[in-house]
Amino acid sequence: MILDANASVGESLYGPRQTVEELLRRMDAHGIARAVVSPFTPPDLDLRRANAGIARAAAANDRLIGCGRLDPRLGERAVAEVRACREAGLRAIKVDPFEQAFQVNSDLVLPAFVACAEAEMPVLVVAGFPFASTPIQVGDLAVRVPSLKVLMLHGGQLAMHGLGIMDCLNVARTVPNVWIETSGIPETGSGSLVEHLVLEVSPERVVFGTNAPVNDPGMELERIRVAQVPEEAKRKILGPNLARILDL
Amino acid sequence: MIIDAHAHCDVRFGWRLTPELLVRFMDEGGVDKACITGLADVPGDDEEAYPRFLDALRAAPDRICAGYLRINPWYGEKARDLFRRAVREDGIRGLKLHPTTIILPPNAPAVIEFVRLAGDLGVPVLFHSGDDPNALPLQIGECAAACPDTNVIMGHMGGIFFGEDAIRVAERHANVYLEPSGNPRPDIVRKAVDAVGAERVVFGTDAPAMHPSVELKKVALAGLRPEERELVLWKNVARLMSIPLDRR
Repeated sequence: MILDANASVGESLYGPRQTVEELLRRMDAHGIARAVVSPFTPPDLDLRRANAGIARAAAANDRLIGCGRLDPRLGERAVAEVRACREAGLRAIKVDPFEQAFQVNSDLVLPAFVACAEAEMPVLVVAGFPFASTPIQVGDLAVRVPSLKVLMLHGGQLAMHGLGIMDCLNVARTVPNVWIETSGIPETGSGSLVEHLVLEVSPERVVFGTNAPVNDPGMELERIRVAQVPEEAKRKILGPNLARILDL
Repeated sequence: MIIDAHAHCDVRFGWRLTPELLVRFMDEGGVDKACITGLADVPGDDEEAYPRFLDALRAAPDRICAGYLRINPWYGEKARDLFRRAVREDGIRGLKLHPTTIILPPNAPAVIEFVRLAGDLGVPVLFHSGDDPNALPLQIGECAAACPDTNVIMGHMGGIFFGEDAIRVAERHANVYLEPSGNPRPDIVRKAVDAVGAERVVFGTDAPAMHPSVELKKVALAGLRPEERELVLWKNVARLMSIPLDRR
């Protein structure tokens, strides 16, 4: 059973859009059983309303695992929103340090992430932004909040230079509460990040995600299909690892 | 026919990118021929780098069909002599410049000098471009403007964040070609073709670090017309690199 750790629906201030129906059709086309779904940053910037919409969609369809979006800069209001998401049935929180402009391991945002840990909400971090969410900064967040489960999206490789690969590997090796999501990681061939993670760290720390609709689920599944790792590792990457993180 | 405009063969810096591995990946992806470059810049500390590159070029001549020599402009006259000899005597058909490994941006005078020399010798330049602060498309645009008689292939076409800039630069400068390897956006090939025409988009993979199957899926998602596909997948690079073809 294929699980997608990272899909979005709604309309993004930055352009992409996808309805729940479109997502479900994409999932059907690619054999994806369930997806963690978060809202985009909407044009009106109202993440609370967007989260409420996701909660309704997830309540209506058990193929959707609801995930809230958070602006962790907002202090007490962010803490309250984490609790509201939990009460609304959402299972995780996603943050984008570029769209909401913060450094992921800074004191400014720490209380919001502590609240996520207390609510037992894993956090998905859009990772690899210079200054904001490099792999080593994501690792530092997880060190500072050891009870928080952190999913480092895109392997922290939002860059073509590959200079963050070593840090991502080191974080995975040394920080047990970090998992690595695969969408968009440029290297797919020999000596790839996924290959190093599986063979040198653990096949259980890598999690498949599509980043749909920004990325294409077929292309993202192809990354896993061609990975130079054992088939059993691919099976874990495509579903069971995420199921364990989220207690599905 | 599919020709990969951007592949690698070298054993260096912990990588083992052998001709055998590249050809295996080409077979898996359905790529007929590949233009390669090494991993080490020459001249440099590795005196075997250039002979090793020539050996790789001769290892599978029906599959590995042309090479870009990876030059370090910091070596001045020594580098110029090597590059001239490589083109005139050893059959090298292109120049590769990686701004991060040579620690020089594309618009630096020392780089522009070599790009101009490549044009004088009648061979194109393949630049690494992307998210490194000294490998930006706009910098490559300034270089291309200063060298109007040199064809410039922009590898990765701006990486994760600079696709828009890459397309704008190609729109401004008729000697710039876009190569989308590693770029995770499923719509990037379509956007490139729409903006500058299929005549200036070339298929590349960065294999074996990236897998041709993933890169070809991206081209498939562009929904190109047959004549556009032929240009992108082999005709453009065959012309740029003067690749003799039996047109099988």
